Amino acid sequence: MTGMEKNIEFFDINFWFGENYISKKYTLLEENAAKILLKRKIENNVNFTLISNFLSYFYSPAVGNDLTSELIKKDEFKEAGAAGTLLMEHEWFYHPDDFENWLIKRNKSGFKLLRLFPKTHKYPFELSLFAPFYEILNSYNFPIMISIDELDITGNKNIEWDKIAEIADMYENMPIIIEGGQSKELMYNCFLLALLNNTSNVYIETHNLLGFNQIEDLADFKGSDRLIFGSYYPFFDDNLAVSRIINSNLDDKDKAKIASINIKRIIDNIIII
Amino acid sequence: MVTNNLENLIRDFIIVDTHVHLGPLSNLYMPSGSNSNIIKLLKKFGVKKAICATHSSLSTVNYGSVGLPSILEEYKDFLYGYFVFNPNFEEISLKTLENYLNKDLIVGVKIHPSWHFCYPFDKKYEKFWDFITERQIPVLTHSWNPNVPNKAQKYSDPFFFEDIIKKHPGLRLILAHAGGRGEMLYKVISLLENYTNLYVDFAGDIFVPGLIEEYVKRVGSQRLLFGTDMPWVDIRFQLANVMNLDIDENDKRNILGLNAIKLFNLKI
Repeated sequence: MTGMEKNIEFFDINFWFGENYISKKYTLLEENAAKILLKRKIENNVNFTLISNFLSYFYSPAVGNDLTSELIKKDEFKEAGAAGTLLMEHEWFYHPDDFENWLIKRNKSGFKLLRLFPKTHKYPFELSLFAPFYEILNSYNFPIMISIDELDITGNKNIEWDKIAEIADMYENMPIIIEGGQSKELMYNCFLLALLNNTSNVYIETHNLLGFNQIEDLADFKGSDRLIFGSYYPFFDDNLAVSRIINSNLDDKDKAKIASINIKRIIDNIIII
Repeated sequence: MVTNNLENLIRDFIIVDTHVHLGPLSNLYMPSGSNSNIIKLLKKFGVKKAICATHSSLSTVNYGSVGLPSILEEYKDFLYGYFVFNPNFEEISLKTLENYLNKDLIVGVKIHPSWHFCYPFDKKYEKFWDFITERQIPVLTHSWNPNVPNKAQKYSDPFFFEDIIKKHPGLRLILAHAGGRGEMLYKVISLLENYTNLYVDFAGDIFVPGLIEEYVKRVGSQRLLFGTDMPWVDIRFQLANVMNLDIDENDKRNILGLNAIKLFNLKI
């Protein structure tokens, strides 16, 4: 292990906390979240984390976003390097003209990424119907993240890869991060290669790039710039996610890009003042 | 710490990968996934021996029976093989199996009810179960939770094997993937509690925190096998997972290699 490997800093964009009402095992209550984040910081050098709230996912995006907003103001969360992940609030489909102010306000209170759950939360993500929001996100270089599970509208692994390509093509300043959730569909397919090859602003989150040498192959294909570290905690052990990057057959510079540099660059590019 | 250099962490362990696939497949593309690269990575991360079923033998009867011996011959210092039994070509598959079992490097048989769209209790498997039990060859079977979107997984419900084990008490059966998803991963523990000739591996994307610890607690570590499912899942995830377990070092040794050496009577 080289000296740099020991110091590779991680920035996790895929971390869930809060009550997961389906499973106590996957519940991380608010009062324990900062402690876990600090532990990861000490043990695995995960110095920054974008936290996603199960309350936003299962109950109400608006209530969850408000709660997350309060949490990330607290000293212990600041010390743990936490920033927020927004979930789209349904109200903005009724008041789309207010979306821009909402985004600015949320960004100023520490939110750095918008996660889309169109299938679960029943709203469109397609170019034609979500355009007013993409326009605003694009104007601020604000990143979005979407899970492959959410693109499998039919439940038959019929992922709508082409729609992502269309959106990426139309809104080139808006980084689009694809994450695999529980799905195998990020693995061993040529759709992913075609998507990376035909876009410049699509990024892949790494936690379930499980296939043989897949991280190295993708880095070799379109550069390590297009990969972004995520742990998918608590469904996936962050030790495994970190270990895979550290033990990858990439040079230290590429490991560091995937681990934190790429996402920091994206966040630094957000131009909300 | 598991996140340190894996090569150092596993240096003192004997590692046997009991669940490897080699060769091309129509819906699988991995740019660097040649057999030689896959084996190179396995060796780099400490694997002393691996047992493989070729993709060709899962997907064709004719090409499959040709492909396996040549790969085993090419990597004979490292590889052992599973013959794949295809119930849809029962007679020819059994005949070929009979020939194969004379070969030194074939140490087990693999079946895949979901791949072959055939329940393990189907009549087409009947002769196979008798044959394989009589020969005392370990069988590796795909097993999965039937309640998932992929409808083909209904063929591989782990509990389908209960009657087969009852009928064939001498059979040594490995439930690959330990039931695959959700609650089934835990229900399979009760099968292991009831049948001492049942084994499991956690090959594939079975990375449920605390799962293997629960197996060790309830049934011990002697019937748990290390399988990667390479190239579908990279060995680095699997090794980090085992090295990260909150279990005794001796249990890790059993899982990583000692159990497989005993079960398959391997020469290391």
